[in-house]
Amino acid sequence: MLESPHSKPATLFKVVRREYRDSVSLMQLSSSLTKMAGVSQASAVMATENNLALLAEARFEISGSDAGAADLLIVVQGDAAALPAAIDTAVAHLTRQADVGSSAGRAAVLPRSIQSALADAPSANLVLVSTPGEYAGAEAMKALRQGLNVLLFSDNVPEEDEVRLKQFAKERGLIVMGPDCGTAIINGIPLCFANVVKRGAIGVIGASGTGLQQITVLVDNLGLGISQAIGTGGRDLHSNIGGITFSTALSDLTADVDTKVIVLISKPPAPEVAERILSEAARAGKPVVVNFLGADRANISRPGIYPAKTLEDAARTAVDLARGIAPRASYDLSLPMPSGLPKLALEQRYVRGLYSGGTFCYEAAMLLDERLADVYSNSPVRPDGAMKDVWHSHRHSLIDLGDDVFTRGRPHPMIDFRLRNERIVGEAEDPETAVILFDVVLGFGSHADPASELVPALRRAGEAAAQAGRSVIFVAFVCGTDRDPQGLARQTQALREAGVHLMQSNAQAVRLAASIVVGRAPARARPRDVRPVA
Amino acid sequence: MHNGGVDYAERTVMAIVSATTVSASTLASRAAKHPCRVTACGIGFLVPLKLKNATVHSVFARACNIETQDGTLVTLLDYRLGNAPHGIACEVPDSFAFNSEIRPGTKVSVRDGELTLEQTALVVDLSRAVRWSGAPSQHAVDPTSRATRNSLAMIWRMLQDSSRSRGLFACWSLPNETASPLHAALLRRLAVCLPLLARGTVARDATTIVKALSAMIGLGIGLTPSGDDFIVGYLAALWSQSSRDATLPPLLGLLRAPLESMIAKTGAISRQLILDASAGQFSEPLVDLVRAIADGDDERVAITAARALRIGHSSGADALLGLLLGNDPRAFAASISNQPVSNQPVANQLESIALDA
Repeated sequence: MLESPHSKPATLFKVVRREYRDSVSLMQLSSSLTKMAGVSQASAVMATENNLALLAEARFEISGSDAGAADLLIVVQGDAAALPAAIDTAVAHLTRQADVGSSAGRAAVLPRSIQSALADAPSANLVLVSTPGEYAGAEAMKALRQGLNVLLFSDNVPEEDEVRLKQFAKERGLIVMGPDCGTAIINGIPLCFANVVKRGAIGVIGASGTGLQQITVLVDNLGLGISQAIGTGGRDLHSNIGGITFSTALSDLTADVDTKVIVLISKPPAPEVAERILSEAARAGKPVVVNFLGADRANISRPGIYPAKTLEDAARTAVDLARGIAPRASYDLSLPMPSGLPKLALEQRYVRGLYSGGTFCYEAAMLLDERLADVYSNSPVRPDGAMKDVWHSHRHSLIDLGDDVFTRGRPHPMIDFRLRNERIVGEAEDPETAVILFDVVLGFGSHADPASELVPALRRAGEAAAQAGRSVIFVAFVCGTDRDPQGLARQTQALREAGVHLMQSNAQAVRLAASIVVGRAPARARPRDVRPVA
Repeated sequence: MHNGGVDYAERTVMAIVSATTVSASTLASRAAKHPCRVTACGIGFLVPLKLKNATVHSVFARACNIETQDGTLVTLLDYRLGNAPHGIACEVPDSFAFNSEIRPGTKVSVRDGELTLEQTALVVDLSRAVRWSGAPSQHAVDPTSRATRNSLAMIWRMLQDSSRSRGLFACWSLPNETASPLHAALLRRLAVCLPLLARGTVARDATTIVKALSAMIGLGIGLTPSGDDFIVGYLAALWSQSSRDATLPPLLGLLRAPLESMIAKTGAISRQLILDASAGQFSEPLVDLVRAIADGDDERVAITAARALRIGHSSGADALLGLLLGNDPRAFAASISNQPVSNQPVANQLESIALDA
């Protein structure tokens, strides 16, 4: 620390070697020093050649400094007596910031192996594995060998590894949730992408992450709670895997005294696997609600088993059963058309669905396809319904934006809204678009404030349509609860204020979208053929 | 399979391997706040394939600079900041802070598609990241078009509205009576540099441009001093016009060696940004803005300019100022001459400022 030989105004400076602080910190430092009594000027700048020249020009006496461009130079000017305290304050400011960082760092250190994690938490019984797929199997096996259950978040785990892990676990009375298990709620704790829901009497087993989220959220919104929500991984009901995790989870929930009703969710399983799982479910001694999306419910129905067509039907059936009420055959609520819908132009005939949840997109394709012809999707229910160009909508288009083609180099659309927002505006500019349909998923893992991302895009979309003399109708649903970090009420209020017609579930949103365009676009010629469980 | 669980499995931050007592711990919140494994979604075009003898140079809440053996800085970034030419965009949660996990001097290695920071719990999975190029020359801006002029006018208004107390723009905003001698000195220098740069740009005169840039490098407040951010924005403007203006590629070629030489006069982080810019590579917020200007899309210009303005305390504002000058030097010179100037007389002192590179 050097003091200039001139007494008035005095200058004092300090060089802090190789000190890199962000611009905001430097501004705060300069500002707080300038406010100190006796300090007329203060500056905290990088000691570059041009800044040293500038300081000299401003009559800061800093001769004798050997500071370089990598150093931080703190200079104060004013009453000589006040300056040492100002420099001390500056140094304390920098030290305090460093301490905040390092103490957080110490707290944040996590174990780097299962063994060291167990040293920290010796009574742990579950390991969450999220490594690249090629290494995940080995890590999961390490956990199983130590008698720990596994939630395998990783994808790209080879199918033969999945079989080996699940067989190994089964022989030891353990469970492997996954691979590709994106959602679970275990003993009330949301894991991975999951919502904060009440604890209760309904246990859910699902091969679909967003399917599990929709069921658990709807059960919560209907006033009941979840005992356990167990993700199995998307391949568990394939022939090669044989439903090992489904079977283990079913057995666990059957034995769990807190679970009164069980819900199973999947796309249609392999027939022989479905038959075995349904037989086990029928022996559970508890009501079991089954939603195999798109499957023929007649093939599912048997004593004690309640087939459900949609995710919402499954949730409502489970809630009724848990309350001791006889469930309805269908919960296809004939909701009235909302008032205040704008008048559409003649050519506005199509629904454009922009989904972040793959299962929601698939369910939407299934429901829309029942009522309308020309439904296309990258998650189609029929082979001839596959989109040829996912970047450009054609007729009724339902797009899963979580598909790999959209997420290369970007986070998932539940986190990063840029692509969907661009697409919302693009669809609004298309004169054939009548309804833009979308999901908003809350909970751990999702964006901290989805409405803040969506609302500006919705406004731009509305303005784009208005400039062409049209109005576009936005229909959506929010999959979340008020205890989610994002807050359901806050999100819905912001979206409603942006003109979005919000429904309680994906099924309701799809049905509203279909009702708006039916009569404007060709209807399906006859009821769709029922699909076999395959 | 495209259900939620499948698709976002590898794309989200989670604990790599951690064990917990399910009934008692809050694994989910721990994992969200303190990930030890993060997935990279983008790798800048100029990031070297190998990081030999690399160590952490500096670390902030949303970025961590890694210095390689040859002095190149590679930056781990919160993906929300956008990609960067020497950046690795990481999918970290909102609450994550690099400086709570990493200390300067930490050794860094890359093996089997993983970037590991020794003695920390952080591992970056590079296996899914895609190469990102920040070359604005693919999006040709026509500075003479009405749409571009409207866009530039909008950016100028945004700077006026948002930057009265930030960066170089603040020099024109402070009332005379409150401007400090430091501000006055900075303003005097800008009053010489910027018109000189504008003249050099109009004339495509590399010597004049280098003289002006040399007086601006390392100048002003901030970790990356304002002058450096300004230079980056200025170069983005030149590169964005280079595919439609035949005079620019040779000019940019002439500027490259002097720029590589003059960067010794500023800090390491700025050095990397200016080197990248002289090679025609810029950060994603700047590229997005340039693309919006090239497309003549007012709404996107407003959105992307607002995003660029949020970079650092003043870095974004300073870069936009440089972008304006590079795109329309005549209008820029006219605009700054209309700004109030504090601590007159300036004119008499212009000649006294050394501008020799």
